[in-house]
Parts: sequence; structure tokens; C-alpha cells
Amino acid sequence: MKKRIAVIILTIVIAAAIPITISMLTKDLSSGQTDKPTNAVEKTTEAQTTEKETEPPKPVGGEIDYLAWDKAQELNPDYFAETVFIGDSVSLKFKMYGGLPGASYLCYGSFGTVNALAGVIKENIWDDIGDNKRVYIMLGMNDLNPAGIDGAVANMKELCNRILDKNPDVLIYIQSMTPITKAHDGINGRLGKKYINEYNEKLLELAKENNWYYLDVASVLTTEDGYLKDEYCGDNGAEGMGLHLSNPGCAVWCDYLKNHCMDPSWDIK
Amino acid sequence: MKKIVALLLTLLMALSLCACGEKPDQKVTAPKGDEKVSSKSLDAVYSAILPLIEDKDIMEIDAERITELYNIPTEDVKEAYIASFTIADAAFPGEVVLVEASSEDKVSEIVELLKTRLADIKAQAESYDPVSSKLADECTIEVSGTKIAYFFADNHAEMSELFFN
Repeated sequence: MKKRIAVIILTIVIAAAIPITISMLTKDLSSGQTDKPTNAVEKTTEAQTTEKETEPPKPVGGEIDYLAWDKAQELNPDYFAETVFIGDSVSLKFKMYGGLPGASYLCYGSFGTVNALAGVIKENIWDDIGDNKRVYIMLGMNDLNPAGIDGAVANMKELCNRILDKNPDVLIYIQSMTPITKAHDGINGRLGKKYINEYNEKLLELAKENNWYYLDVASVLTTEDGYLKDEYCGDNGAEGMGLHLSNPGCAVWCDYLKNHCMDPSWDIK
Repeated sequence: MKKIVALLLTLLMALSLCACGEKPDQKVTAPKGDEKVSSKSLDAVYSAILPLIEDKDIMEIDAERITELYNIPTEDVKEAYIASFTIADAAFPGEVVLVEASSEDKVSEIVELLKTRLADIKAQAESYDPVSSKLADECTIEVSGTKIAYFFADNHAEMSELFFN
């Protein structure tokens, strides 16, 4: 009798415990998932639809006579609000600096054209341009060693073409890779002045051939002998790479971009 | 037979007790009981921390940029202070983010976004930036009530002390 009572009591307790167990396990499984913020660029500017009866004017490729910011602002005060920057950890710092009003950023540490085309770090970056009109690209520090100069340039061409395939109306602006400090020149494979300069020269040629703009950011960051100025470098120590910029370096970069604006729709005489 | 049934029922009960346990979150330091509570205002904490980084190429960032930089909605934030600075030899910039959530139920969401930030740094830095990668492992998110602190810095422990004391 006593045994029967004990079994009955145990049964009641277990019957009560089972639904509690199930609900606790279900809660643990669902609470472990967090919504990762997406890297998609979201814009809330009003869309303006225009019927295109004629082909839009194509930009002249390469380096051109750009407009300074005061004139560019008059023509389009939202110039940088319509611009997305694709880059690596160098551009991540630039994003943090935040000197360009309204600009968007798709920048990731260790990113490069090799990773971009392989979908590593960020998949299908060409799908996340949103309604931006301009794509500014600075990549290379993570490509020169794995792909070589010609490989990195070929990758850049492929990446730009994929962006244009998906977003046919965007304008491409290729930024030169930033220079390296003298202390780090050549320590890490092809991350050295000679290779970076050759890479940038070939990027300029690529831009000219394809009617893409080219922005020589490196020109305002270098010493007379072509190295990144120490005061513009944020990782110039023994364990650093000598490539990432300090806030003063970002300030100079920002000023350069503001004073080198262009859009083919601007009627400049 | 009765013994077998009793044994099975006992095992089931033991299983139900195990399901009630929670794993501690190692990336978040939250005070329990009367330990480590931040009684200072965020403004006071921020002012105390600034001298630790003022010679490190510091840049104070408008709190309005919290959504752009950390995906934290501004409506979830009552007050915020953000600064970035250079960590020697690191590719990733140092960061100080102090947030007071608009309500208690927003705290966990903000913490998750900051944890994602650390995880992203870790993933992106691992192959080439040992300084940032190591810091991403060490740094934690501090919580006291609706106040949240995120220090991505080589002196993050010192900053955490200033947050709580």
C-alpha cells in the first residue's frame, strides 16, 4: 500500500515536471539566437524616379580635374550621403573618423578583393550597395601577398564588374592603396613601397581603360621619398603593419576626398 | 516491475531539474547582490576614463553616431558617450562606449550588439592582427542596471574599475 502511494506521488511529480522541462529546453534553444545586425546599407532618402530616354554620360576614366568641396556641395550637397565605401581595416578607421557627412561603409578587417570574390568575411558585397550612386573602393593590403600585383588588379576589375552587373547605374571610384611607413617597408612580403606603387599605377590604368574614376589618396599621405608619414600612421610599432592611419592621417584623407569630387552629370566648363 | 517504473520516474525527475540550470555568460560582467554596482553618472565615468586615453590620438565621437557605428537604435539609448583612440600596433582602433539604456528591457539587446562587435573584431583580426585578436578575447561588456560599458582597450581592466568605483 505504502509502495503504491509512493509510486502515485512520484508519478504526479514527474507529470508536473515534464511540461516545465520541455518549456525550459525550448526557451534555451530559442534564446541562444541573436539577430546579427546586417551589413546591408540602408538608406532612407526619397527615391527619385526618372525616365532615362538617353544613356547617362560616362565618366572620363582615371585622374581628372576634380571639383573642390565648396563647388561640389553647391551642385550636390548629398554627394557623400549617396556614397558607399568598400574597404578593409584601413577604411574601418576612416569610418570611425566619420568625416564625410552621410557616407555609408562596407568595410571589414582582413577584407580584400580575394575575400570579396570568394565570399569570405562578407558574401556578395555587390548586393549591398543599396541606392547609393557612388562606390568608393580602397582594397589591396590583403591582396598583394596572396594574389600578387597583377592578380590583385585583375580581382579589382572583376569586383567592379560584379558591382556594376548588379548596380548598373553606380559610378566606380577606385582609391589608391595607402602607403607604408619606411620602418615596415618590405617586412611583410609584397607590402612594400615598390609593390604598392606599382599596384597603384596599374589601378590608375585599370580606371582609365574602364572609364572609372581614380583617386590618388596616397599622394597626400607620403613623405618626399614615398613612404607613409609617421604622424599619419596608427600602427608604426614593432608589432604593427605600418599601414593603418591615425586620426591626423584620416583627416588628410578626408580633406583630399572632399576636394576631389566629380559626377559625369555635372556640366563643368 | 514497480521498482523499474519507480527508477525511470526518478531519472525523469532528475532530468527535469537539470533543465532549470543556466550557463553564465562569460562576455558580460553583471553585478550580483551588492557586488560591483556603478553609482557614478555616465558623464562622471567618461570624464574619469578620458585621461587614460587622451595621449593616444583620441577622437570623441558624437553620440548620434551610435546607430551608424554599433547598430544600436537611438530610441533605445537615454545617454551615450563614445570615443575612439589608437591602440599601439593594432589595426583596429580602441573604443570606449558608455550607454544608459532607455529602459531595462533594452539592456540585453544593446549588450548583444556590443558582443557582436567584439566577435566581429575577433573574426576579422585573427589572421593578421594579433593585438586586436587578443584584446577581443579579453575585453568584456560591463553592466550595472541600465548602464552598459564597452571598453576595447589594452587598459580595459582599469576602465572597468572606473566604471564600477
